[in-house]
Amino acid sequence: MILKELSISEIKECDNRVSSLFTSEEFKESIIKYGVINPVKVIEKDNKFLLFSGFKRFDIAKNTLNTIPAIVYPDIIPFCKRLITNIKENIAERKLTLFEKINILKKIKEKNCNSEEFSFLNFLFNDEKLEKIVNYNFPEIFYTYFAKNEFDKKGAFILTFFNSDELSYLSSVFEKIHLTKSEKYILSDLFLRAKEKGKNIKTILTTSKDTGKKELFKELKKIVFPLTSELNKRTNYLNKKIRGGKLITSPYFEKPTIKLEVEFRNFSELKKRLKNILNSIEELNGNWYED
Amino acid sequence: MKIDTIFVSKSALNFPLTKEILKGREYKISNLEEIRALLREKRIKRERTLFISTFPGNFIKDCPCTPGYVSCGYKNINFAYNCPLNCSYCILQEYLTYPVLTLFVNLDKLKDELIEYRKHHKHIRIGTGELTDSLIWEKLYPFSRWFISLFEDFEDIIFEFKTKTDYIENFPILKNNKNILVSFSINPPELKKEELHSPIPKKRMKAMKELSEIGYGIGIHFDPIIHYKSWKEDYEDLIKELFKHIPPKKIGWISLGSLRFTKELRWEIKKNHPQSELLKGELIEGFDKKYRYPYFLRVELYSQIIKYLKKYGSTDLPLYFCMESEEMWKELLDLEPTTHIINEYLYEKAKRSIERKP
Repeated sequence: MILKELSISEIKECDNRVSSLFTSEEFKESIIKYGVINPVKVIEKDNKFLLFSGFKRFDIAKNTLNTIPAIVYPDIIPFCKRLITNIKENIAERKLTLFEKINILKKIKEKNCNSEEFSFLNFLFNDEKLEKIVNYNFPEIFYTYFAKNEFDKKGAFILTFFNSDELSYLSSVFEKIHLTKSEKYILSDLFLRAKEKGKNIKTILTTSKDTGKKELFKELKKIVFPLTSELNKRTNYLNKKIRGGKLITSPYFEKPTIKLEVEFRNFSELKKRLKNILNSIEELNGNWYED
Repeated sequence: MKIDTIFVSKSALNFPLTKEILKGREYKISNLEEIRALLREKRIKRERTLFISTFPGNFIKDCPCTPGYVSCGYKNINFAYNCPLNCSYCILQEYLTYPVLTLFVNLDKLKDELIEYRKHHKHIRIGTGELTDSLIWEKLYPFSRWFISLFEDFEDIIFEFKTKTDYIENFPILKNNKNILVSFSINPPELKKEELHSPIPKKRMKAMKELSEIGYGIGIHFDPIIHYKSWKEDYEDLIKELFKHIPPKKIGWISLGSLRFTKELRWEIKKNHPQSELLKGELIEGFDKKYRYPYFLRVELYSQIIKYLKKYGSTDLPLYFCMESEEMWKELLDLEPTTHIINEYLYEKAKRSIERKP
């Protein structure tokens, strides 16, 4: 192995990433200020350098530096060994997130790694043997051993339907936005349903990564419930236009009727409000849909 | 139906029907726990294993419908569980505690049950197709003949076989009974990937034609109706083809039910049918907590299909909804959505369809 200063453009990522795409501001600032002190690890293959450890450092360097120090290994290290190196570096620095843990399990299972070689990870799963976790009914074990403190059961189960790549992306979202257990469930479900519709999860995250929780939910609902979202938009429009009352619809418009809610303290106020409502309907001029 | 392994419970061993079915076949005496264990260990296949047992309770049950939606008052005889057709949308994937194809052989008590039931109920519409396909067992034993013969003594009850197959070779020419309806579930051929092991709709239509010509009434179930890109054209073609095979006057009833399924079934679909496109639809959570299309989309599906039925069939077809809301009934059908009214209406229509000559 050789230590080299490599141009960022020479490096491509291997498929053994387990970490999320989220990087803290402190880490970002430190790399901008001091550069990458701890070299990343790459293998040299067909005149290209494939990154297998140091993904977060590389994420930041990509946008801020031209070169990065790297230890270059020959192309003889098998995937599972590279995964071990990557995991060891990560657990030495910080606590792994839920997504990273499931990602590790998925990779060990998918690539048929020898789970005994990963026994150093047993502490992550309440000292349960990793071999057992990987080989038993995967979704059940996933919840039982480590997801129940961070996720509700339904949400944890949903996560098992994403591939490692998608989990890395999801992890970034979940780290960035504070969510309750039930919100985590709803959000994971919406992501899964978007995936079921053939949508590339990563695209959703790219378009909404800089927005907040509310926007992300809205964005996903537009994909998953396009017709219902359109009706919601119309109802919101009408509610802005109708003065003195509020239109109440049933969840997902499952009841075809709409309720009108009017608050009043006395009959003269009611009369005034009803008049306003009728006037605003008049002003809408039959246009119930758009401005 | 291909059976690799047959298990028989001790309680079922001495029934004449068991002996009849087991003639020349190998079997093992076992119980549900052992069968579950073998399934877990993947030593047997769910759809290729038969368990012959006895049913401990009453065979006759109300059709459960779904909370918050209108029931049609139908009754079920659950003489068997599960189905090897393995359609992607089928509720049997997650609904039953019996994990393999199961047949209950203590059917001798059914006659007494029917006699007792008839004392307290009128306009009984009953069938065997809720927890299994009524005709998939025909290659194992001619149950169709058995049921037809049983219902000769219950002329006031409409009995329905409900199927997605065309296994009608055991059906006799109907002489005495004026109460047997054979119903077929159909969907456009474009949805073949959702029902891989069922005969194509045209074969089912051919079976309808043959049965209607030898005295049977015919039922049609557009269930589940699926929303996808070319659904309008495909359902129109299907309905046009349907009425080339069957005269409208021989139709006892037509049900319409759009795709709906429990949350648990969603995971089964993902696991068992990764090629399925069902989950691509806009599926909301209904009042019964089941996934279904939004109301306004269901209105569109139903009204279009009703339009085609009237155009190619007749304006006087006995239509009803399966698991739909009161609002939907009021919006699209001219029938008061009250269980006993619907039941009586369908009963009378079915009776007349059977009595009519093709």
